[in-house]
Parts: sequence; C-alpha cells; structure tokens
Amino acid sequence: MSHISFSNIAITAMVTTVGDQIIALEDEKERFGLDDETVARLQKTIGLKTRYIAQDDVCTSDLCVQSAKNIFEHTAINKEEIEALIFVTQSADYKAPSTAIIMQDRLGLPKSCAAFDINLGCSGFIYGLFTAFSYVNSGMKKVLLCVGDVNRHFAGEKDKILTPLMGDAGSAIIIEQTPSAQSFFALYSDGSGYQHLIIPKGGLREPSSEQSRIPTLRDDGSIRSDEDLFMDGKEVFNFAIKTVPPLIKELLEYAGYENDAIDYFVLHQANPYILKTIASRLKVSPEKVPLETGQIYGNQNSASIPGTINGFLSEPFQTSDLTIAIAGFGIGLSWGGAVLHTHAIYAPKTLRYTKDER
Amino acid sequence: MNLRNVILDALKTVNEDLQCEALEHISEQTPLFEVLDSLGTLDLILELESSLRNELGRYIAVANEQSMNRKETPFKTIVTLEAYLAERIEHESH
Repeated sequence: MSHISFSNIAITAMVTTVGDQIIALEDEKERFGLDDETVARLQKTIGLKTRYIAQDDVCTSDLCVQSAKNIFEHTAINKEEIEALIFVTQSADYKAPSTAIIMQDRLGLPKSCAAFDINLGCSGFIYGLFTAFSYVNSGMKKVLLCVGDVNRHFAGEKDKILTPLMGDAGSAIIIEQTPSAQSFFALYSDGSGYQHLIIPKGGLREPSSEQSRIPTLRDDGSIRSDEDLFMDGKEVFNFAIKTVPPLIKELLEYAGYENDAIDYFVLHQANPYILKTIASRLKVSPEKVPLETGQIYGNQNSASIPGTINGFLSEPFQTSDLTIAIAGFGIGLSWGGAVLHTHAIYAPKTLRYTKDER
Repeated sequence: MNLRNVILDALKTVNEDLQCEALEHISEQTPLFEVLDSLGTLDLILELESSLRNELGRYIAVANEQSMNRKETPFKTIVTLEAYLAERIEHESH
C-alpha cells in the first residue's frame, strides 16, 4: 500500500479495560510446570512480572463494552453520532455473527451504525485505526474502534512458552472529525510468513479433529494442541527487528518529521528487548519508547498500543497536544504504523474489569 | 579484550539457568543456534551486550535482522559469533 494521509481527523477518547485477575509469574510455576531456572530466565530476558487476565466467563467484547461505556459516561460524545463500530479481535464471542453487531445493541448505538469485525492480532490497532480514519474521511461523524483479545481463546492452557506472556485487554477509541494536522499511515502484509504465528488446525484448511484438540509435549518444551496458538519466537524476533525500524523511518520521512518532533513512539509491546533494539536502531531516546506494558499487564495483542497509552501515558495524553508515532506488528505476518496528533484527549488510567458492566 | 572469552563467559552464564548439556563442553563445532531456544538466544544477546559495555564502556547492539534466522544467523557457532562481534565493534567504532 502506498502511504496515506488524512487531515482534520483525530482520536478524541481512548479507554482500556484489562482482566480483573492479577497473576504473578511466580504464582504460575505449578500451572506451567516451570522450574526456578525457567522463571529466572523469563524474568531476566523478558522482564515478566505480572499479567492481568479475565475470568473464564468474560469475553473480549465485555472488556471493550466497559471501555466504551466509560467514554460515553465521562465525555460529551453523543452515542447517536457513532456511525460505525469496528471490532478488531481474534477472540470473537461467536464464530458468527460478527461480535461488533452484538456490541452495537449492548452499547445502545443507533441502528444506523455500521458494525463489523476485523480478524487481526498485534497489528490490528493500526489497521482498525486506518479503517476508522478512512470512514470519517469519507463523511462519517464519529467511529468507535474496539480492539483487544482474551487470550484463553487461543493460548494453550499448559503452554509454558507463550501463555505466561499473554494478558487480556479491550480498548475503545473514538475517532472523529476535529481540527488537527495531517496524520500519516502505512500498512503491510507478508503472508509467506503465516506459519510463524498460527493456530494450525480447527479452520477449514485443517479441520478440527479429536487428535488436533489433544495437547501434547512439543520440541520446544511446551504442551499445546494443534488448535492452540504456535509462535516461532526466533522468526518473529527477526521479523520485528527487520520491519519496524524501516517502517518508522519511512513514515517520518513521508510526514516530513525528524525524530525530535515525535513526543512518543508507542509500539506494540512484544518484549522489552525488541523495543529497546528498535529504539536503538532508530536512535531514539529510550524515555520516548515505553516498554513496560508486557511486563505488568502481559501481551495485549491489538490492545497493546492503547493499553500502553492508558497504562503509562495517561497524564501527558490527557493534558497535552502530542505528536506520536505508533507501530503494530505480528500475526499474518502483518505490520503497520502511523504518525498522529492528539489534543488533550480523554485517556484515563487503565481500568480493571468489573462484572457489573456486563 | 579477548572476544572468545567474552562469548564463553556469556554462554556459561546463560547455561546457569538453561542447564543444557551441550553447552557444558563447548567446541568450535557446537551448533549454538540449534542448542539455544529463542529465550536462550535472547539471553545470550543480553549477556554479550552487558559484557561488551563493561569492556568497551559503550553500548554495542548485538542483535540484527539475521540474529535468529536459521540460515544466516551469526550465532551458528562460537567461531561465526566471534567474527560477527568483531565486525559489530568495528562498525560501531566509525
């Protein structure tokens, strides 16, 4: 895709809700069969401390609905002006219909609101945001973008490699017409790497079977079934290091900005070392690149960029005009980025899920 | 600075947690990349960066686009890794 820019469109509200259970890595030793040495390795290399996960009866849409309700309760944004609801997730409520349509009713949005799902992971916020900007650019007043995942849907219950990294989160973001400088987007896909992050079976290509549902011990030491998410960590690491720095550089060049013009580089929170390496390659000062989200909340997939803003940058986003660069990268393989401006938006600290909201 | 010793020391530290038999007696033929999982490779990168910072007084980024690429990784053996680190240090000096 060639680069695309938009004028006078911006994010005006952003709320993230995380699962209500805080689990420390130490507390998961028995569940995953982790010995002290493995816990030490995870803490040293990835900095894992805790993660926030949802109860077994909570869906991603529940987290997003709480986030969206918070926006409508605390801002003057009029529900009646929401003309599209886009839900980016890999953990839909049902195989069909699109969860976004059910959320339209739960949120009391008008029936004139278009609603649909997008199936993407860690690049999903950028794709959803681009879609929302495009809709507003085509004339819609306001779009509600919801992103996130509840990871028990695809992360193996006993997978000691992947599951301890994952956190559950759902964000709601309002995009609307408002005076703002130009925003810039670039999106990419490379399906040749689809096997590096995949749920191999359970779809039409490789249907579900009794065998595919049985968790077994794999070469990498994890226990998972073919219907659980598999990640080739080495390939994904290379992919991130290879694609993200050039993506940010080209976006800045397209926007006509130097690094200094960017207040924050908010990147998908894959792991701190990847983020540090990307920052180093971009020659960006480390304090402009937040990297703690995964260590505190877990990997929030498509919600990790808003999750980082609500989790760690709430104050500057609520009080200042900012220019930010964002980038998401992951399953697909798929990646994308944007340079945006925000103007003292509604972005409270991350919320924890409360059942009353269901 | 003896780069070979830096690598061997880093591998020894990594193996304190990993406890991999193949890393207990490392030779020039030991297939490091095959022996280390992704976390182990990352751990080795962190150890090497920390040692190089102590030795040289500055940060040398050890990871590159090929670090974890099976075909082109510089982490194949201690020989390829030593050559790669020498090149990185040289590159960062200019």
